[in-house]
Amino acid sequence: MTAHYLLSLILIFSIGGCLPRQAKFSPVGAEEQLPTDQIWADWPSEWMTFRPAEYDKDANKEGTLLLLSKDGFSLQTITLTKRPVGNDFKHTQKKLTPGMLPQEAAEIVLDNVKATPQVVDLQIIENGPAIVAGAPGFKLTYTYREKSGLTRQATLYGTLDRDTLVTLSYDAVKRHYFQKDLATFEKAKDSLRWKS
Amino acid sequence: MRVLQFVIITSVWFLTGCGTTPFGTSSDNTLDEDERRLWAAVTEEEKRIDQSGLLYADSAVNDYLISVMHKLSPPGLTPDLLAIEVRVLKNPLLNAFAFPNGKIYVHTGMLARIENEAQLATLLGHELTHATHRHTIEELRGVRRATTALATLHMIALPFGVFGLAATTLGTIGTLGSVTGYSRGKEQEADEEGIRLMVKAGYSPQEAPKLFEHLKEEIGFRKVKEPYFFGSHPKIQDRIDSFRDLLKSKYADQRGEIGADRYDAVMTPLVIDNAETDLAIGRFQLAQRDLERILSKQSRHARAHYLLGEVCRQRKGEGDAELSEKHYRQAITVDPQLPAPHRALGYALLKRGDHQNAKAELLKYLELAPQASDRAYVEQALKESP
Repeated sequence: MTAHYLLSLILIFSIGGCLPRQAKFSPVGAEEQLPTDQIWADWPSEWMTFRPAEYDKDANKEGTLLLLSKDGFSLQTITLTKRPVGNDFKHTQKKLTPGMLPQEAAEIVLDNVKATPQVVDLQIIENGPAIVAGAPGFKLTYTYREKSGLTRQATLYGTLDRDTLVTLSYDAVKRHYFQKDLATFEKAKDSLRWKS
Repeated sequence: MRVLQFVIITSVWFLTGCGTTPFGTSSDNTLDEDERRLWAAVTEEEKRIDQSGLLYADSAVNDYLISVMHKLSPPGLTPDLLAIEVRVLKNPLLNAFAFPNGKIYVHTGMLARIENEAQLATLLGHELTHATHRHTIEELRGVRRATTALATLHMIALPFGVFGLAATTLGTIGTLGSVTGYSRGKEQEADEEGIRLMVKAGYSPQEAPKLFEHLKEEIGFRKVKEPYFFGSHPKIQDRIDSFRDLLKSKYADQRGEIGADRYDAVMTPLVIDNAETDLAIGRFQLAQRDLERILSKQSRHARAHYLLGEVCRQRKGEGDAELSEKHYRQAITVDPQLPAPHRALGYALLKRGDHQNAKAELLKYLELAPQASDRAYVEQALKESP
């Protein structure tokens, strides 16, 4: 009986280990919060995290590791992405190359935003250098209008770590929400670190 | 089984037999119940497009399109029967479609490919006919098209790559009219009636097949699958053949207006805006071709020179660095007050070690655009330059 029980347990664990990771919501700091590919930050407490499923094609293409929101993803979202430089962007055919300057990488990331059909009336507020996790990177800030007519504002930090692009962005409804949580986002950005 | 066959045949006959007299041919064009429902659905789609911010807002372009449409409209077509309007969508895909209530949408990508007013009239006449001849409702009533309609609905959810959400913007009805196209008979009717309208308006029918020949070339040129005006290569070849037959049989000696200069005068800013989108997408060949076409007619166009310089810089081919610098300099010669070419030239000079002139150009950029979003980068470059 004990042997059967042990065998069943082993079988369950081995099958479980083979299953792809499911999408998961969990509060920041929760024990079940999943690791994000050796990238860490002090995520704001009382925010919810969302980890896309392993088989989520869109998330994989964009390299999306983690999304966070306090009031709902349509109101404000912090997004962490990590992608090989050779990966295709969703909207531009341009490619990053290893060793690119942060400014050159920023130009392509911005072109991807410009070429996004849902992004209307794009206004670039800032496109400049930044330090991300202690490395030279870039910062983009822009406003745009959604198809629904709502104006949003976004700030995106990025850096090329050898052959990987890591970005951390904050996108929120411009009115009320963007300013409300901007400091929280900047604090999370300042705490960003990873093993390269 | 025979009873079932009888029921199907009777239903098909009944459904397709519903009267759909073309608008403008009778004073009574009362809408059937299903057509009324279709128009209500279309009004919703229209609202969504209007609020999307994707409409190209240039009064000169819109007035021009309306003026061409007025020339084409049949005399009996009054606004109370069918209110015809033409709108432009900011989208680099080659597309155009008509809603059954007379709203015609044309993509900037399509207008960028058209060379003159006669070709524009060909396109508008074709789309106008789809609306006046009530092709959408007829198509939706056709049992034969049921599977295609389902496929269309499915297509909306498919990724089209670049600007892939175009189909979502169009909605079901717009997609039926543009991505899959209508049945062969309806397309042919739209071709025949469209060319008749353009000839009546005084345009040269010789330009009609040229539009579709350009579009056919474009399919190969773009090298990507995308929602397309006539869906596929064989369909566009059908259009070309149909136009050639019409030219031979009906319009062999017919000549008329072409209106190339008038078209260019109005559409140049739109073509350049579209090229800028193609540049962001990374379609360098398309952007280059449209910009070179503008410059072949208006060599003193600063923005076109600047963007062509950007095409050369970004595609990084052999000799492109020199070419881009040449275009930046030409842009500055034409309009010294345009900031972007100064920055671009400054960076180009920095790359080849001409620090003194690079600094002068970058400083000029900051002087002309003190609030530039990339000011920090330029200041960094100036600081790091020896």
